[in-house]
Formats: sequence, C-alpha cells, structure tokens
Amino acid sequence: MSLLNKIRHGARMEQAVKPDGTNVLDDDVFYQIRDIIYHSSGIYLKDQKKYLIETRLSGRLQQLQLTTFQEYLEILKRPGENEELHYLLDSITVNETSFFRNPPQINAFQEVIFPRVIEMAQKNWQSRIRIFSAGCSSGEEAYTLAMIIYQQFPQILKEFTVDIVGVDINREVLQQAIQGRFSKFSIRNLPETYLNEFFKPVGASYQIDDRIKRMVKFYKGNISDPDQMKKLGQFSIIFCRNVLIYFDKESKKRTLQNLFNLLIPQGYLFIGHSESLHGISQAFKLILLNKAIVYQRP
Amino acid sequence: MTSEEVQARLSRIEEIATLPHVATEILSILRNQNASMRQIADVIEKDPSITAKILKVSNSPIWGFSGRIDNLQRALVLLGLKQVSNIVIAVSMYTTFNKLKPNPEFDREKFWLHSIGTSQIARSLAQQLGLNFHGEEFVASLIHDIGKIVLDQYFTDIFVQVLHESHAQKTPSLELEKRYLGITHAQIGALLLEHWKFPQSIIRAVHYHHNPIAVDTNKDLVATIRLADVMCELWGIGFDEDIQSVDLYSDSGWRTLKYFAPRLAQLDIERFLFEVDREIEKAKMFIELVN
Repeated sequence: MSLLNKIRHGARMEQAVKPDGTNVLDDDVFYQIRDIIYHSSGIYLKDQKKYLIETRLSGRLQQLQLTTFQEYLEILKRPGENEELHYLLDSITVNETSFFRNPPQINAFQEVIFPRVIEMAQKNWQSRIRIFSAGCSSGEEAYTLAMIIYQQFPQILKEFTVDIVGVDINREVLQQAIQGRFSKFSIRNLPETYLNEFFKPVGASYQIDDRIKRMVKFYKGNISDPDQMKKLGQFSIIFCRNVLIYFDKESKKRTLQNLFNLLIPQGYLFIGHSESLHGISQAFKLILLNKAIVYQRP
Repeated sequence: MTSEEVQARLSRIEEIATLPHVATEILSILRNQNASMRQIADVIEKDPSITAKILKVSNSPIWGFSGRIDNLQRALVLLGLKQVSNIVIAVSMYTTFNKLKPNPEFDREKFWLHSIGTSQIARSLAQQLGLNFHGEEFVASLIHDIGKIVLDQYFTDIFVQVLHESHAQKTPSLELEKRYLGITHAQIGALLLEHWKFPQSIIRAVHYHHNPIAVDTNKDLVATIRLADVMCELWGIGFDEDIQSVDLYSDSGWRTLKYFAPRLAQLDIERFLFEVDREIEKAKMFIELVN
C-alpha cells in the first residue's frame, strides 16, 4: 500500500521521520530508555528532556543504520557490558561542565551548606575547612567554589585556611585545570561580577586569577580506589557531580564508601542534580533544600 | 493584640465566606454513613457550573481518566462516591476563596499554586505508598493553609508583619503567629472547618499539618499532608520563605508515615522529587480548568 493510501486508511505509521530529519520518539519508548539510563547510571531525565534524546540520538540511529528508536532500545537492553549505553550517557552529558553549573546547588552551597560548615568548624575548633571536588575534570567546579568563598565569605579566609582539592583520573583535563585557562564556552554561565573580578582575557581564552588558583590543588587519582583516597585526609564538603553515572554498581558503591570515609561527621556530599543514591547507598541522611538535595554523613 | 481581641475577630469567622450550597449539602450527606450515589448526583446536578468543573477535572490528567468521563454517573462509578465528593469540595473551596478581596502583600496566585501543588504531591505520594484516602488528601492539602486567608482578611496588619519578618529573618511564620496572636494559621484553619462541619479527618489534617506527631487519629493522612507540604515548599512552589532545609528522614511527617506505610522506606524519594515538576504542571492545569 502506498504511503498516501496508508494515511487515508488511517493506518498506524510504525515510524515517522520529521521534516528536519529527526526520528520520532514515542513516549513509551522514551520512558523505557529513561528507566534504563536511571537504573544503570542514576541519572533521571525529566519529561522535558525527551526532546534532548530525540535530537541527540537521531544522528546515532543513522550511524547504526537503525530506523526506529524501538530498535535502538533493543540494543540498549542487551545484557552485559554495554558500549552503546556508555555512548548514550556521554551524549546526554556532553558539554555539561561549566562554571556555576546548576544554580540551585550552587545557591544551596552558598546560602545554607557552607554557612553551616563554617559554624561546625567554629564549634569544633578547626583551623582548616576542606572541600573536595571528586572527578574535577578541567577544574570549573573547584574554581567556582573558590570564587564564591573568596567573594562572599572573605572574612572566613582570615579565620580559617580553606583548602579545595580536585582529583581526576584523566591527566589531560587536570593539566587544563592546573593551568587555569578556559574557553568562552566554559564561562558562559559565569555571573558578570565574577568574570570581571577573577578572569583576564588571553587571546580567545580566559585566564583565572592567581588569588583563586592559590586556593585549589589538583591531583591525579582514582576516586574508586580506597587506598588512593585514604591519603587525601578529611573534608567538610564533597562534590561528586556527573561522575558516578559512568560507574557500574559495584564501583559506585565502593566510591561512595570512599567518599563517606573522606567526610568528617556531619559533612556534606553533593552529587549531580539529576542523580540519585537510591539503591546504592543508605549510609547518608537526605537533606531537602530549595530545588536541591544534599547528603549528609551522620 | 490581646487574646480577647483575637477571639472577637475569630467569632466573626463565618462572615469570611459562605460555602457554596452544593458543598454544604455534600458535607452533610457524607456525615450520614449511608450516602448513596443517587443522593450525591442529585445534589451536584443542581449546580451546573460545579458539575461542569467536576467533569473537566475528573477528565484531566490530574485524575488520569482522560476522555472517558462525560457524565456525572460515570464519574461516580469510575472514581467512587467519596472521590467525587472530595473533588466537589475542593473545587468549591477554591472558587469561594478566590473571590475574596485581594491584598497586594499576599501573593494569592503563589498561595494557590502552593496549595494545589501540595494536593497533587499528596495524591501521588498516597498512590505510590498504596494508601487510599478517597481524595481526602486532595481536599486537606488544598485547604491546609486556609487559615492564612483568614489572617489576610481579618488580621491584615499582623499578617503582613509576619510575612515580612519571616522572609527577612528566616524565622518560621508559625512561631511569629504564636508570638503576635497566640494562635497559628493551622489552628485558625481548623476552627473555620469546624464551623463548616467538615469531616474530622480533614480538620485534623489541617490542624496538625505542621506537627503530625501531636495527633492521635488519622496520623497517616496528617503525615502525608505534612510531607507533601514540605516537598512542595522546597521542590515545587513555595509560599513561605522561611523553610530552607528539611532533614527528611528525621522529619516528623516522614517518621510518622513510615509507621503506617512501610513502603516509604523503599520509595525512591529522589526520583519522586525529580518528578515533582509533573505535579506542579497538573496543579496549574487544575487552576485553568476551574477558573
């Protein structure tokens, strides 16, 4: 039957391609893909992200010579070591790293959590406040925290030594972090005050100020390795965002155990804003904040 | 303000608004244990505008029966007598209170979004925990802060002061209400509902929604409202600016509800929170349908 006749007879179209070339993603298929992503990585894709999957993966479908998302789903469902799943995770998190990423979490840090950590430090007669950026990549997160502390809590820097530590397994991104030079794309979410205060344009890039660089130290390491992690000391706050998603369940559990041990009692852990520890760890308390969650070591 | 003055103003509470006839009759029928679908249908049908709104609401994704309910009988059969009655009460309350004189200091829209958001979250939470409140969680959540409207209409100056102070100092508004009035919005809300002869379960939920531990009956309903309220405040639409954080597993609502719904411990609460947006969308839908 010709296509036109199919439409006339109201026949249900198995698959349709939109005028712009992207494949149509049925709600039902989307929900299944979402569940697979959630159960393997812990990332939850809200309904609004359906569009993201549709556009990002249409190209992939073509590469794999598939015609429908249903077929793609079958590939994802294959048991065992799943290359395609890893590819999928990469494609939904690509270009995620930037300064001041996820404002509600940054806000929660600035308005609620860091003030509490200061209080704790004062009560416990600490001389240092230490923060860990686990899986720090090119350093945007660590430097963001440093800038906030420098800008919003200047008196704290007089009262305490504030150490920010970044660890990543990838030497290349660490080099970039240590150098402190960033692209226009990286700084796209940076509030203007911070940009003007702490960055200097160098050619097409931006160089971060020494005052901020001094606050952060970067090391190469594997956060799922307990022996390596033991050497880092203890922290009041740990950020581990968009990192656990790439680990299998065992590695996730092991890493979380490491992070737990790295936290002082009552210390805080931030993971990705769409990530969940459900089914992975019950060791942490769950603190609800304004559009953000933070976990706390009891 | 002295306690006498407070009492004097509260004694005029029945003047605040008249409940629509249909709601009063439904409440009265429900008090009689042997209510029949016929009775309920007869009462509702007398008010065509409410009937139309009920059908719209029952048909929307809010209730999950879209396109299948085109008359009242069907609504009663598919949803059950109690659910429909509770939808009627909810819709009446919203329509009634929306008509009151506005106050520029009191963001009514945000207030209702928070209230309806809470009712959606409460419904979803109850469903996921396998608790069936027959829609009482929906009504109770919708009116859990109705006492604030009373404060707005009858104690305007103090109410505005409480709003400003709680926002500026991050002091819980409940504390400020006790300090300046000797009574909280929760207690006032309960008083109003007593006057209107609402079911005791709903009155309790409104009265104790900040403190489910203090009540002896309907603890599960009260705790559900409490949890839905804090989740909406922080992850949905917040109205109070004074709540910044909640230690979830230590919260009185959580601890109480865990006792009645063991499933709560297994609930993927992170995922539930990530999905709160959906409930807020339904809340906005409700406002559109009922206006």
